[in-house]
Amino acid sequence: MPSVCLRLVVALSLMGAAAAASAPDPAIAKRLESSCVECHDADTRKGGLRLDTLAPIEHDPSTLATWTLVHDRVAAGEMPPKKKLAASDASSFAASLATALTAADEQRQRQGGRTVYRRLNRVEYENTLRDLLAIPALEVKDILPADPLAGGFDDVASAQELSYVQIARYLEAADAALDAAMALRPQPESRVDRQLFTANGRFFEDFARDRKLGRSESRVVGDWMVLLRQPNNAQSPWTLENRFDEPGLYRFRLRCRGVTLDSPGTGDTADDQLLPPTVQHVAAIQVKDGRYLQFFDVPAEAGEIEFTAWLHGNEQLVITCASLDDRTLPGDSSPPAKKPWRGPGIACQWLDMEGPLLAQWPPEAHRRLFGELPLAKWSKASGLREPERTTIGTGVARRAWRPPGGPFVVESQDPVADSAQLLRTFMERAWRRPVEPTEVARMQGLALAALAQQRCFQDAMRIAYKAVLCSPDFLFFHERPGRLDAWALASRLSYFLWRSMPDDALLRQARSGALLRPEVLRAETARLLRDPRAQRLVADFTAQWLSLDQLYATVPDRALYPEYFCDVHLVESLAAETRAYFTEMLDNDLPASAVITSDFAMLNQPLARLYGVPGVAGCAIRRVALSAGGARGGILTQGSVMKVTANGLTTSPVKRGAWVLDRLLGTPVPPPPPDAGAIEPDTRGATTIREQLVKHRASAVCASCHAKLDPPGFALESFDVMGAQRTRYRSSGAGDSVPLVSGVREVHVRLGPAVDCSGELAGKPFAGIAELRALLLADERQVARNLARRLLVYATGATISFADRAAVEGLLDATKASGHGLRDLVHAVVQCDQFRCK
Amino acid sequence: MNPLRNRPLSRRTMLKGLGVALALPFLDAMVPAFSAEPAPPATAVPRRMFCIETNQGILPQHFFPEAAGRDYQAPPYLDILKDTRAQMTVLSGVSLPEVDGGHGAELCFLTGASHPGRGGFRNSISLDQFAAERVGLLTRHPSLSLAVDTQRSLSFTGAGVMLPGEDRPSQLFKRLFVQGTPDDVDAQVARLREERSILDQVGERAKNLSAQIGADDRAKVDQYCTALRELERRLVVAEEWEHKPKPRIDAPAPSDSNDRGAVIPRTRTMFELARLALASDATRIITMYISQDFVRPDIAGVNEGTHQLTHHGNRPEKLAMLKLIEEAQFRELATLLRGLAATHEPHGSLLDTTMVLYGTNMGSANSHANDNLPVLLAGGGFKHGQHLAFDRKKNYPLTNLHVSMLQRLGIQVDAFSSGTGTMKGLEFA
Repeated sequence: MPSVCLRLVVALSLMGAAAAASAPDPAIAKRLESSCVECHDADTRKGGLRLDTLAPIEHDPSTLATWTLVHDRVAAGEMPPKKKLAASDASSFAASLATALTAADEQRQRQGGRTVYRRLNRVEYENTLRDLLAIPALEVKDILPADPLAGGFDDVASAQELSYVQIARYLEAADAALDAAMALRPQPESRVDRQLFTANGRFFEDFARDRKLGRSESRVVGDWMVLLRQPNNAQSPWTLENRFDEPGLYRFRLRCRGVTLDSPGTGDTADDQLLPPTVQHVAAIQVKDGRYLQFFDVPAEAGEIEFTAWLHGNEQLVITCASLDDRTLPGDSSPPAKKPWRGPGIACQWLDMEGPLLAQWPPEAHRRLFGELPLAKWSKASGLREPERTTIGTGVARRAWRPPGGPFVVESQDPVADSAQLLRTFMERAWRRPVEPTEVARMQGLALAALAQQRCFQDAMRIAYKAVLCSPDFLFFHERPGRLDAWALASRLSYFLWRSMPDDALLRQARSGALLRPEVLRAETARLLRDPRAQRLVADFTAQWLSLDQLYATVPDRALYPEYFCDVHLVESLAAETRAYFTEMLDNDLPASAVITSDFAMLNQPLARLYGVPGVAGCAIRRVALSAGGARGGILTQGSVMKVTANGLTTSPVKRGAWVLDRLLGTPVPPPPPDAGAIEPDTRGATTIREQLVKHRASAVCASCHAKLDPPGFALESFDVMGAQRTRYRSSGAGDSVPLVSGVREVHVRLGPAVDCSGELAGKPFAGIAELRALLLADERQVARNLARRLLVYATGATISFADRAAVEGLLDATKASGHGLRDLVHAVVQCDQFRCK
Repeated sequence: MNPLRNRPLSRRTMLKGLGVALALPFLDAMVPAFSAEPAPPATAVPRRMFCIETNQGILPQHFFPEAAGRDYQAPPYLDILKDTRAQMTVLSGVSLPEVDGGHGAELCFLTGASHPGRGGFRNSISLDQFAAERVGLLTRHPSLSLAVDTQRSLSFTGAGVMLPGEDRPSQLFKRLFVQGTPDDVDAQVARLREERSILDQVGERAKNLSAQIGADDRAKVDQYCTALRELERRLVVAEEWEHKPKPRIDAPAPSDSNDRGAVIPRTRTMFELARLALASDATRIITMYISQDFVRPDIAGVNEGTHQLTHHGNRPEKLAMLKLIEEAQFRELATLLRGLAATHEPHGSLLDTTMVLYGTNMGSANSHANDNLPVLLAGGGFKHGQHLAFDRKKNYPLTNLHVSMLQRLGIQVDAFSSGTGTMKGLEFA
């Protein structure tokens, strides 16, 4: 009773406050009428904006957004543009707008919360099922529709939609995950399978011209199969055998060595010699058309590479010879069988696959669904309906499957008690909070109804588990306006740092309520950041913030950039560099300025080669010191950034400038008006993009935005489409022919006009990237502000509204001592009211 | 043109290829059962699509006409298709942008995903699945992915996962025409009802929740509830399909041939089953992947496998054998097109409502080049009877044809894969 009364009082007072906040300030309306509406009315709608019908300031989000725009333009002195207001009038107008906006926005946040009812996005959904079911590599997110973006991220609740297709896919994804978890079969045998490369027909010529010799891209020398190229001149990797069906963890051991094949061309491979390699070779074992299991350095002396990797079940495997890529240039570069030839190769002897590596049987995933209940063979005589056919596999491609000797059923002597107990445990994990007995009973009702229809225990439980996973209790975050309770706070924290559900330790802190204490919250934040699952934050945040998910969106042109064409190891390394760098920032609490500059880089061999840094060999990424005043350092000039802001053929200072302003500085320039026109890229070597832009900037309308947009882009013109430094543009027409090494070949490219990377930023001239960097760092707080805003959006699932601005400044003030260190910022975000309230 | 045009649907149609008669169900089974689906009304013309790829190229010299436009002189392969010349458009100078890799490109015929076979490659959604997601619920089978001599298919989900290709005529026949046993139907109905009981249960929960939260949050939960209700309606319809009789066939099912050389007869059987599937409105979207690899087709005068012959090095005897194989294939296509044209329905012939896309992934298998693809489009409600010639040096994107086909299906899109508009010169009839 008292709580009801209290709620009533709160509700009434909120209504009173709402009424007060929505009373329009007459001075604001008057000023809007006299200074803005002339251009922003129904007829003129300058800039597509109409203000004559704008509702008074209240907490409707779209109205607030429009008023925020009005405030920002007036406060910046940009509006009104012609009949300028007196400075005092402008600042008092802006101030009264700010007061009203803050009041209305705070009102909105108090009443409904900043973050509206938010559901798991598909990345969070997949991670949650992985952790809930203890299947570390489970893939289900591709079953679900993509999530919309807002404020640069895919977890913003106000943008989320939900259709019947989404629900249908939730049912399908739940089925797939439950199938993957259920081990309705006897323990599979774990074994070692050795494949000899010289016994694999795929390494020999298709049409058996000489089965002893190998193909034109491979050569048998003794018991070594020397791979000289990718097969078929198509850069598709060599196919390997995989004689395992079971999903799970496997150990790989490959005996290999890098070589130089020296063949006198007698046609008898007994005369061929394997000399030491001249380069450090790199290869990868990969799922065909899919993920890389491991890139590795091929040893110069015969040796074994060993690693473990998860297979989803009967996946086709291939070996990619990353350092033998001939980038499909015209003509055949394969060594002739009957002529002297000398060249690089990767020699392989055998591959051992061992697995599945099982810690226990049934696996933990099965135990989470069925505890210790035993399996038995199903028989018709049992009176139970035949168990559902299921699928096997933990990846997106699953096969219909029936276990040999089966089907099997999970046996329960007391299905009523067992189902209740199993469901209660599962639901508390899945729903991330304590569950009421009535809630358990509702889900159990589904299972009991099916049992009454003679369904076997696992099929009956599957229905209940699916309902648990399709319930709003699983799919949504449970946050109530005001301060979050400990359970909601635990979820917010783990979804921020792990993109997944809380673990048992965090739930214990929620159960005791200790998590609500700032020092416990801080300690838990530190603990979660130390956990390997924090790499999900690194991967997901950088993928979205820095568009790393777009790295494969374009392919460098094979004529202009033959050395990059389809160099997958380089592209994979670009992403790995940015993630490693961000991890370094997070682990070592590097200041926000590290976005722009640093005295080190995270490099491996292909990256070091791209950047012209000597002395880095092998595919492992490591910290490398940079010499002062060079072109590198920070995220600003990383190859990943240069690649996602180019199109594979040309670079545009406008696009790069806009990207830097938006993503790195957080001062985006509005998109061009529809009639702005576009610059036609020209690679013929006649005009540079800069010369074309000069015309464009001559127009006063264009100049105001381009004065901000272009300068960072001009400096970044000194990097090509992959991020290598350049002083001249590549040309497909006029130019000087110069040789370069592309993969295993020497080719020629043409160099056209010189790059001009000078410019002027806010009245200060710069000669190139080093000076631009110094100018950008002049406003370090803005770099930090951008980072703080993005972290806050990402962490809370709500965009930055007017009242949040002060909170962001608070984050910056709180982290001043560390130079707004990244780890410090993460802690500050977690402690702030925006994070701790709905 | 066609004397039988616009006659009402004949409920008995002779199935020449299989020698059996098809009893079509009453029309109500062929009318979309979804009141909630924002699809064309029942009186609208049903739009269909059948996409076929052969995987070893087609000899360009026997396929591409010299002259563009309507008055082209038909080269040998097109001459085989002369009965339906007025109902097809031959394309030249088209390819899939950035789709290369020789044989690798065969998986991209309907997806247009770039650089197949390379590291980092991931396929994307295929034309048929894109369409099936939007209009597939109008029929019992949203789409069919068929295959000859392979279990691969041309169909890929949004996640780039290949759907298995059905290459057994017996199984396809069973799916299309054989009523499940009462037990099978019961089991399937039980499954659908269980899913509905799940939706009921979580719907109850959402309703409770909705009562406890504020207005903004409630809008989200209400959206969830609406989605549940819509899905539930669809599950009800799916259950209705389970109870509805399948089209009946008065003959035993075709058997699966074990004769490896019988590639052409197998193609014929699958074409005929596909035609029946379209005629009975079991589905409106079909793909077929015709694989020809190392096996020697049982054709007089041919003594090597198709793949070996495509590496002909321009030797005349090899080219002649390859031509024999390809002519046999075009004769099967001609039979299919004639069969569709002779199948009548309220809106004209089945060919009038079915777009048949036929082509291959290599312009020249000899060099494994993936440009200048031999492709034709027949039927389906376009202004046909022409050779649309594009630039052989700077190819026109075939994915624009995909966009045209989607629009013809009534799907409002301006882009698909690398296609950014409809195909130039190809207009709706």
